[in-house]
Amino acid sequence: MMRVSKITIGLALSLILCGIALGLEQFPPPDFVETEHVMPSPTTPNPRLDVYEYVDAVVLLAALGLSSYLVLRKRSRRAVFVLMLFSLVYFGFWREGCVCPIGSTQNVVLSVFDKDYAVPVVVLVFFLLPLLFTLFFGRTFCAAVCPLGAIQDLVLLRQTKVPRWAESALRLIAYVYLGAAVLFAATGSAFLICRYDPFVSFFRLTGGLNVLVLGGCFLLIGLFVGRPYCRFVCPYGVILRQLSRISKWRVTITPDECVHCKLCEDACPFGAIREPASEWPAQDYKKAKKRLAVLILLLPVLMLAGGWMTSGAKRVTARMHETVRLAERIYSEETGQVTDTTDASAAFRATGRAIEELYAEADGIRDKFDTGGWIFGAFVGLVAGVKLIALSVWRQRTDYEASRASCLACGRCYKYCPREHVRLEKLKEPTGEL
Amino acid sequence: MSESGNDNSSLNAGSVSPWYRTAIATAVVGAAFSLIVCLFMAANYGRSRVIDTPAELELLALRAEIPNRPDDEQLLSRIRQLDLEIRQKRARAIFRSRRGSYLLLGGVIVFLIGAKCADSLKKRLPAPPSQDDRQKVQARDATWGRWAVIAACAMLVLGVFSLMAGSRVDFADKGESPLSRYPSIEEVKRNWPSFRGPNGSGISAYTNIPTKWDGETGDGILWKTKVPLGGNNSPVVWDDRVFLAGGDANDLQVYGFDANSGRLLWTGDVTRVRPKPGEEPFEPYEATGYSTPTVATNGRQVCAIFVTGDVGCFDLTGRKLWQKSLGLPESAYGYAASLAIYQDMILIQFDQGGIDDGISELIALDGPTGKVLWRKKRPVANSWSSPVVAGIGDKFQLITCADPWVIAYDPPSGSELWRVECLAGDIAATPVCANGLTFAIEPYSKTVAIRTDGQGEVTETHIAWTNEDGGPDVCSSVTDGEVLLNMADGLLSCLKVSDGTMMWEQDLRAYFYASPSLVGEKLYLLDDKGTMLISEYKPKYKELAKCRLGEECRASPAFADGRIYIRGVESLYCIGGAKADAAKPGVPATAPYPSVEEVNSNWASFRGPGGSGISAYSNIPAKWDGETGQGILWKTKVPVGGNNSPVVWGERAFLAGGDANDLQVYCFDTTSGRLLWTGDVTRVRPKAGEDPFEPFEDTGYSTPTMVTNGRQVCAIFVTGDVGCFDFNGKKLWEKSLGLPDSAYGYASSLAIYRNTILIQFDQGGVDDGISEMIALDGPSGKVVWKQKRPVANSWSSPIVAGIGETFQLITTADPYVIAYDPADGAELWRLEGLAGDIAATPVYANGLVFAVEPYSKMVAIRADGRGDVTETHIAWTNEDGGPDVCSPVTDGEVIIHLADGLLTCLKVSDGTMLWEEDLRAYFLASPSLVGDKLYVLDEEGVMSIAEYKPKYKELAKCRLGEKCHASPAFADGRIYIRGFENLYCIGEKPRQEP
Repeated sequence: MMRVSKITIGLALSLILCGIALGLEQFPPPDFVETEHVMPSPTTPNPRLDVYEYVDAVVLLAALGLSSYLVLRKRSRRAVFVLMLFSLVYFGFWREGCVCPIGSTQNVVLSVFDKDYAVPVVVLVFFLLPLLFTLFFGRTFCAAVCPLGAIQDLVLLRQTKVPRWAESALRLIAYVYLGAAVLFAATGSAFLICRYDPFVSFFRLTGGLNVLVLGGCFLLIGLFVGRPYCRFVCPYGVILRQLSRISKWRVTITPDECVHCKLCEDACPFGAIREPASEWPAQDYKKAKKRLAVLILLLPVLMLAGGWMTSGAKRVTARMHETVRLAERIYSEETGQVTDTTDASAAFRATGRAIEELYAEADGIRDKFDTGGWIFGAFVGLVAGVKLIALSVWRQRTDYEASRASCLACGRCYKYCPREHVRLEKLKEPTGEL
Repeated sequence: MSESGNDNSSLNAGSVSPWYRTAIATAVVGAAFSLIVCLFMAANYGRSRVIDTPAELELLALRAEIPNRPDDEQLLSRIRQLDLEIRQKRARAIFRSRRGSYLLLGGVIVFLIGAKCADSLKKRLPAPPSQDDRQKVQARDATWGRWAVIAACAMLVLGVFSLMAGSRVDFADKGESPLSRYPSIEEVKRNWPSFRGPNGSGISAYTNIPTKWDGETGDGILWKTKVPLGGNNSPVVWDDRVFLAGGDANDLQVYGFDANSGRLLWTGDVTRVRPKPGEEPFEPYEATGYSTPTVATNGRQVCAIFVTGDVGCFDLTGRKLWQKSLGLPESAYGYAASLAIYQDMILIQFDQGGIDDGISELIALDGPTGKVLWRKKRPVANSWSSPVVAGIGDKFQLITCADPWVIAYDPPSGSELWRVECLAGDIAATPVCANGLTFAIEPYSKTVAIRTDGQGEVTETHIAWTNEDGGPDVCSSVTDGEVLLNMADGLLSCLKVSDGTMMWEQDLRAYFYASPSLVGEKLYLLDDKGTMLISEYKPKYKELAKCRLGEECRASPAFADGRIYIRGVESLYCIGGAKADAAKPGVPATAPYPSVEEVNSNWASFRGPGGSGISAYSNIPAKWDGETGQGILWKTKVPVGGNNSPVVWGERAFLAGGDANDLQVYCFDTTSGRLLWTGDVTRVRPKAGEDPFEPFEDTGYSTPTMVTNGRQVCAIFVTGDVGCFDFNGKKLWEKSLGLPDSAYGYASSLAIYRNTILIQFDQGGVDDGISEMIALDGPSGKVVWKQKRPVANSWSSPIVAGIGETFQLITTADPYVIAYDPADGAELWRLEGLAGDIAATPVYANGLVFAVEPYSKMVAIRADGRGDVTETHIAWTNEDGGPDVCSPVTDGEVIIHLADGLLTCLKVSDGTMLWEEDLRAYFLASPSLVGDKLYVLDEEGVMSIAEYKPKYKELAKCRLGEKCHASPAFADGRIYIRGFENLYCIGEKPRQEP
């Protein structure tokens, strides 16, 4: 029990120090009525020299390579942690979280659908490099390079397991988010991932209140639930998961063979360790077969239903596009539903453009959302269907394994494995005792 | 670092490092510090968002005052100071936020270091589950996982459906246009929409124009408002709006003023296209300034052009619709041609350069969008004359004057109709038309009269006459069709229209910029000093009055109903009174209640003036077909249903509607049928434990008809909720009288006496003693008086009848007919003689009140009694039955009632039956009289029009195509009928003209 005096002294020191938080008015800001000083915008990063973009790409490449080496060869959690700190500082606080591979997904999508948009080379590199490394080495990007993952990893204090069944449903969010981000990027409406990046406000030490609160919530949850954004929300992680399934090399808990000591069962804060599984429970087998057949037949239905519903919501989803919003505003003004104007509608009217042209353009965008909605909805239907099928398939495992898709390659599980200790020459052959 | 979640305290006993507590302390300190910093930052944020907001709102309000007080140094100084203070506070807040962010980051890092170290220093051993559970757990996880995915999908589906249920905007559905795209002839004539009014004639449509005022003493001046920026353009007026333009080197602006108060409602900025780098900056001709052309409006858009060639168009609320730059015109004295309007086309006479330059044009722009509709080159030099659109025969001509041609065009297409070569020099006067002639002026030289029925080049054939006794420089002519008046340098000359011979000349020894105007038989001339000379002009000039403004004037006046609007060099003046009572001149519009004549010329309550059911107008349509649309002027869907009848006042028609969710009042524009506003009346819901209210099916929520007095409009609903609104839809008050205890639902319409709302609130049985007569003050809703009534629930409506020199409020119910003094509620007389469910409203004529007992009798009562007149004042009783629902109608000689399709006509003098006619239909609407015709509207929406004296003789049957329960309302040349779903206006379509 801490002595009361120590707590009191600690708090007193905090309060004294907090005087600084008021931003001691010893040096008040200049009176810029006389000058023409312009306050810099606090919410967007200042432009940087072009060469630094290429430096960033090189640093990314180096970090990915080092991460892969540390995770797969060195198998050192400590080293991975240090690299993770570096990535947090460099890609997070120093570069203020932009450009990041997660958001670059949208740039790439937009360049595919909009012939007038050329994705910068560096953005393309940021998008492709982690995918390439994942294809070969597993999710080493998530382990020690992604600043969003790093900040969450850092705040994890008291691990609370998320039930496996809940994880299945929660991971659906990431797929929906990816689909929505692709849809809105493809239609040129919005970069959803950037708009709702929860941690960018922390990296820039400023931001809108809503995003700050969102990030704060993720970090608070992250105190207890390992990397909630990475596991359940990250749209880029969806792609990494699929590539990681087929990666040439991957994380293994044991450096050689699994001795089934079970010590690693609770080692992973991200629920990525799969326990050995024996045969299908006999009493469920027939029922499970039927269920699987039904789900397979249901898959196209789910895709159609998802596509139909999402395309049906096109008039709402299309509102993400500023042209559609403007057209609806002009429409409201023209039909007397509102009496005043907005800056956007006043500016439009000042251009002298015909309103019918605007309506036609908005209708065209809605048509895009109709098509895109079908694809998006079908994708979500497909994901849901595949998940249900996957949950109906019983996989046998003999050893403890890190899930190919879910493992974030953090390396925490290594120290739990006695074979690892053997490798590190810290333990003799196991005697069955701890 | 080990992060196992299990805690085996027994195994971990004795394994805590000595640095553990230090690590914990560090974490606590870091957390506490971070929390405190967070609180400070939150307070900083809240302060900048909440506490500092009033100062910013104050700054915005002060800035909005600048146009009204541009020279107020105190105001400007306060604005600067406030602006500085706000900026300083904002900068400090940002600075604090930034510092706090760094401190917070530091605190969090300290916390994390401490917490991580503490966690790593307290080793925990892993505790995996037993083997036996594993298979079950895995199977359970799979099952629950599937259900969780299904649940997540269900939530997604719900989310998508809720999105789909949101508001949908279909751009293809433009909805009902708020107004017709352009005004009718009548609308245009009623207003002053462009330079020199309708057709550019300079003739006032109104004769009730003031003839006496003094701007220096304020006598006769209704208001005077400073115009923010100067200009020489003349006011234009549309309904209750006056428009001007103004400009200087920095701004080009259009202004909208309230015609009644002079308040500047809005300022519209027209962006000025600046000269390119290297180009000479533009300097306007001093006498012309930036804003000489007069604006033009059609009641939907108001458009202005400036000397720079910039054009801006706004709607009547000041919202900018579009703007254009035509380029800086090459004009010797600065561009000065005013705009003209044809339907929804803006017409611009854009003459510039020399004849041979070929750069002069006539341009037509679409009013709502600014698109160029057509553009015609003109073989003329720069001019300062304005185009006019004149109705000639059954078509229109757009007539223009310049050097050397007078050219007429067809406005819709821009094609040239005719041209005459007859002018030279700097043409500034605008042409005028009358009697098939167009009169064009060559300054200081001549007046030319041209016949307007030509085709092509008609110089040789269509000049009717030329008068070469000089002609005005700037001022345009004015003509009444007999004489033509010219004003040139103070010399007023009068020419005969027929041959151009001079009738007389008068040297007025003054200088005039403003063009002369005609008001009835008077001539109005406004000189540059602001003095208006009012005179007769036939057979000779005879000055009647001189009225000074006290300010110099360059612009021509605008005329409206009882008013003149004059622009001085600094201010806009309105001369006249508040809106005059049309029926009784002299009663100011701000009078709290209307005159008798006003009431009689409107349909302000159930069955019109006095509840008589008699139309004040005889020009009522007698032929229409709702299914083909013949004779239907407009038809507008009523949002929520009801059985109440329309009431009409001026250009407004009112209805009420109600359902379980809403009780509403609707206001429609009688010209277009557009729903102008909807007023919601709050429904007082049943208390907890009370049964929810279910109205009687035939009655619904909204059967009582509303009332209006031209100032307020009031409605009562079956729930006993009452709401009162002004004419703009602003709710003045609402009240709940409580749910009336009424067998078939409350259905008594309101009555109105002056500005007192009269409510016959009969409920319960005779002995319950809960029936009341309630009088509420129209503007405030306060109870003026209240009288208990010894009657049972009834469905009859009260009437206010003028009897002799006074008014009586007459009511019928079981068992009494009671008359009150509407001013104070004093009971005048009562008569016991009715029984049952009294629904028909009484009527009055020739000293007799006629009350009906359903299916039983009609009683005629002399209305001159006092006290209980049961034994003494029954004139006659006819016991051959009586209507159930429909109220009777009488012209003073006969009285007609309608019961279950049986029309019965009785003599007023003694109640004997004259005739009966079975109409073989069912009627809920009460019969009405229009002149010597009877109008009866059946439940199927078929109106039978018939003569009723000496016998019934059907003249016509007109179908609406929709069922009707409500009685019709009659106005000037119109009938308003409420069907189940729509409100119809039956009348002639006005001819559409600019």
